[in-house]
Amino acid sequence: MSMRTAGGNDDRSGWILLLKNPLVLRLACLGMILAFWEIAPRMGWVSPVMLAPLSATVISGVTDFGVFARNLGVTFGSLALALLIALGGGGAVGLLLGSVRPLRTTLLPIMSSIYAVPLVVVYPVFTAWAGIGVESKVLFGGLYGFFPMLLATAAGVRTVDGGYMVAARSMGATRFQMIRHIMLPAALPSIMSGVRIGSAMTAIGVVVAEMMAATAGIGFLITQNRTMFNTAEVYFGVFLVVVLAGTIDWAVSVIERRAGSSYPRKVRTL
Amino acid sequence: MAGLKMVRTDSVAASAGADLRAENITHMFDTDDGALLALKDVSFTVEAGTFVGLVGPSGCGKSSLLLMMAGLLLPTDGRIAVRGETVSGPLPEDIGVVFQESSLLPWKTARENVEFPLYLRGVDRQVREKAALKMLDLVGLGEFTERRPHELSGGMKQRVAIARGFCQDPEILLMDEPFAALDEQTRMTLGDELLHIWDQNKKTVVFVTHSLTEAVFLCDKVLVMSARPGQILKEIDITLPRPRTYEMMATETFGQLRAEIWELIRETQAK
Repeated sequence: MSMRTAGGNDDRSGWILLLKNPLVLRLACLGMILAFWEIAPRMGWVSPVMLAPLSATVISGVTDFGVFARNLGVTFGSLALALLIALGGGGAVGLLLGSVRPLRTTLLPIMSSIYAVPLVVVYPVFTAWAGIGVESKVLFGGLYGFFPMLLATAAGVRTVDGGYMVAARSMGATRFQMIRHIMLPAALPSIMSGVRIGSAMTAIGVVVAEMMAATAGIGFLITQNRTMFNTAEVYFGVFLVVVLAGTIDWAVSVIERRAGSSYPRKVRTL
Repeated sequence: MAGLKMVRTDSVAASAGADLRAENITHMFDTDDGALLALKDVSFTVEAGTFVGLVGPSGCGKSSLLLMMAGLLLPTDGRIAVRGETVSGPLPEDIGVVFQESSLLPWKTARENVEFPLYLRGVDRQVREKAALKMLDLVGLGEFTERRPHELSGGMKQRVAIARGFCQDPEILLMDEPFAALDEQTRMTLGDELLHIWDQNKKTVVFVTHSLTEAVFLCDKVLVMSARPGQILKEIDITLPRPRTYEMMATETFGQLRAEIWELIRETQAK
């Protein structure tokens, strides 16, 4: 149909078309990485201690399936609780700080400053308070995601168009109705970005906590195997962390789609 | 709960409007340069069921005055009274507001926007849906009830806003330059339609506008305000008969009334 094929090589243009398909390109890239992963250590390009071949990694995952599954379960459980703190707590406090002016002007700058501090440095304190069990990593992960969620929610609430508020007030909206029907929906895009960043940060927080001091979990497994030079197990652990991150990302997009279904693509933004 | 609330479901042709009075209203704004006198001893009466215009130069305090009538701003001195009772906060069942630029909620459909004031009051879903659809039909948007504001034109959005105002069914409807953002033709059409709806229920309307033609065409009485500090310069009775028609715009009376208002505004601006 197109002018391009006239006089050209049909076979070649077919290939080009295929390569222009982003999905094909993506799969091709992935395939190459996996192939490199298998070949490089086997050919001695990199030391097997640094990179275990793909097949060895998969085999270690299959043989130690029970151990990995149990620890993945522990990580997921801790993550769920930590998300409750991060998203629930951060969202609630963000809503409060964003909408109550005196709190906003006094506390919000402090919150922003804390967000800039690498919280990893306080993890030893957490273990001192809560031990190295589930509690400390839940607290740490929750705290890690708490601030981005808080700041995004506060920013969303703070920048709600005053016109909507005045109109709703003239229609007799109560304070609760105002929050439920004006502030939350108006701030939704910002809140959702808080959920996205906050949940990713929480996952990082939980895994990092497990890596530093814990008794179970994927992060713990990775550290433990690393100290024993079980490279294949380390890589399988890393793979599970990728799965964990992918799961969170997928869950957030599901929420985003459901929450955003009543939201126009182009909203008057602030 | 919701069933206990008495709401007129046949929102059109139900209420006859209530009277509204402004009594010696003086208002000061705090600015960086000290207190600014925005309104000075403003008094007027809006009779029940009449359509009253409020015109004046920019910055004369029209919008502040309207916010006070809506119970959204308290005057420094004096009071607004509806049926003789002081307005000290929003009274959604008595007073409704149609804002300048469409303050429609972008995440709600036209119908949801129109029924929103009834929802806030706890009216049953079916009742408020019926009322909203009826109003949307009346403003000519019967086919666009499930569209969101960003899918509607400027004129259509203001139609939704007007439908929302009437659906709220207050005794008094305050309109703050509702057609300001529209082009001349749409503006005229909407003004005509507004009169048509008003004709059916005779609510009390206070209509703030910059357009003198609009003021004369729509109103029973026009309050002309001075430059800051805002005062009522004159109340001009619009003696044109109702229903108003476009032909009236070409009459001598129309021209004289318009000229009289313009003269007042020009003088106060020159000062």
